[in-house]
Amino acid sequence: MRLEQEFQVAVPADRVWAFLLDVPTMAACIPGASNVTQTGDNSYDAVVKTKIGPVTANFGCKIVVLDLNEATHSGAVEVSGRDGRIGGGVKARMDMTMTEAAGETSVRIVTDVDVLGKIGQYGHGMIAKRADAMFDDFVACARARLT
Amino acid sequence: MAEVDDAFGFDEPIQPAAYLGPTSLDDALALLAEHGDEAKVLAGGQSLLVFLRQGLLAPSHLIGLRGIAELRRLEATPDGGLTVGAMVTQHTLETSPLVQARFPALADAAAVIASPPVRRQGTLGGNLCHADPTGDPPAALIALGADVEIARAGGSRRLPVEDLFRDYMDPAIEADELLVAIHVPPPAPRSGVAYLKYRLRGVDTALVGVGFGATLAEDGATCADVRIGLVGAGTTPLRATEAEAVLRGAPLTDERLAAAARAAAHECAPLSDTEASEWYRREMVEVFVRRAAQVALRRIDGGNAA
Repeated sequence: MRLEQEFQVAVPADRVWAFLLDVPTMAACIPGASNVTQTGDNSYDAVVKTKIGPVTANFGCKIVVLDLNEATHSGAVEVSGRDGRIGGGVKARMDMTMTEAAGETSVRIVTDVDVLGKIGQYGHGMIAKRADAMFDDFVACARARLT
Repeated sequence: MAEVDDAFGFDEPIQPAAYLGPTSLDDALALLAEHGDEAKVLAGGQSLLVFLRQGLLAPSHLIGLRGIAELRRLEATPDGGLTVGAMVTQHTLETSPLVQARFPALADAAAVIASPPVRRQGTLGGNLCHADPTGDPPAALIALGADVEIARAGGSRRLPVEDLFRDYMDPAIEADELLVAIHVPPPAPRSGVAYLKYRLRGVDTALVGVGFGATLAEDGATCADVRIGLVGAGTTPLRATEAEAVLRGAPLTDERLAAAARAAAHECAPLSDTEASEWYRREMVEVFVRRAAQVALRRIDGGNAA
């Protein structure tokens, strides 16, 4: 499943770039994320808790940041998360690009996500809706921290 | 493949849970006050058992309601309304002469749920608390103007059924609360209500479902009141208030009904999934609002033709 999301924030791209690459700080804006620990130069572990209807999933996630290009402010993140108890997980690659105009930065994120196991029965419509809601919360938090 | 097979988990046993079987409402509410956060309430089990079987839920306690007689009452109220206890089964609603004669939209909805064995076990209260956006009864109950009664130890509250649905499978019922009854008001003079479901296969949940209730003014042509409930059209059951506004106070012409159907298709927010795209669901909302309206209007003359 492919998700395309975009947000604008009224600060220069350098600031947004620094914020997004400071993974522990950035992750504090991801709804349900906790226990972020660095495991290598560009790799992290985290737990992401999300609730869909009556079902709560705790995804143990491995996060790898790659393909960083500071000149163009682009990069990618690979996330693989798994909930051992309920059986299921997600694998995602998020590609990020930024453009700056008149002091405002536009961030575009294209995500390819595979939903594995029992979580998948919710259907991609529900999962896309939830991803959009989480993204909106993330953007509100990121804006508050950047501006 | 190993990971995929494992992930579906069909060979895993259901996690053990302590079964509690209260025989009175007060006992059930006391148990909920004590265990609510870790317990699940078991009504007919037709949705909950699937979640337990798949290991999606692992409650410490199951509070079974089948021993509580007052939750099974199905009766006319003195003013001509209907009280449905939360544990009344879909089969009972589908076959009740009272429901068929006075509230046929509710019988319509009960009769198209899943399969006969599911309807024998599944209950109206359980269906509402599962809050599946593709369940049938919510649309009919919205069109009927029903309230739900929610109790906790020491008190109860009522809210319109359309306000019960907070989010996907997330009813506005706290952990220490229990949905105990559904109250349907008496049918107004010159009113008719219908529920129509569109599905691909016989036992499916609704691709789209529409409840339509209309009351005519004394002139027999103007729409005095209207209520439209939609399922399969968002992350929750919805009341189509913009479509209602197109009709309320206006003559119920074919053109008006078509405009209302378009408004409903516009204001809803269907999900895309492997069954149908968002676009297709909107198209079907439009078609089925028109069709449900036709059935409801035929019923105003006292007829019961579908």
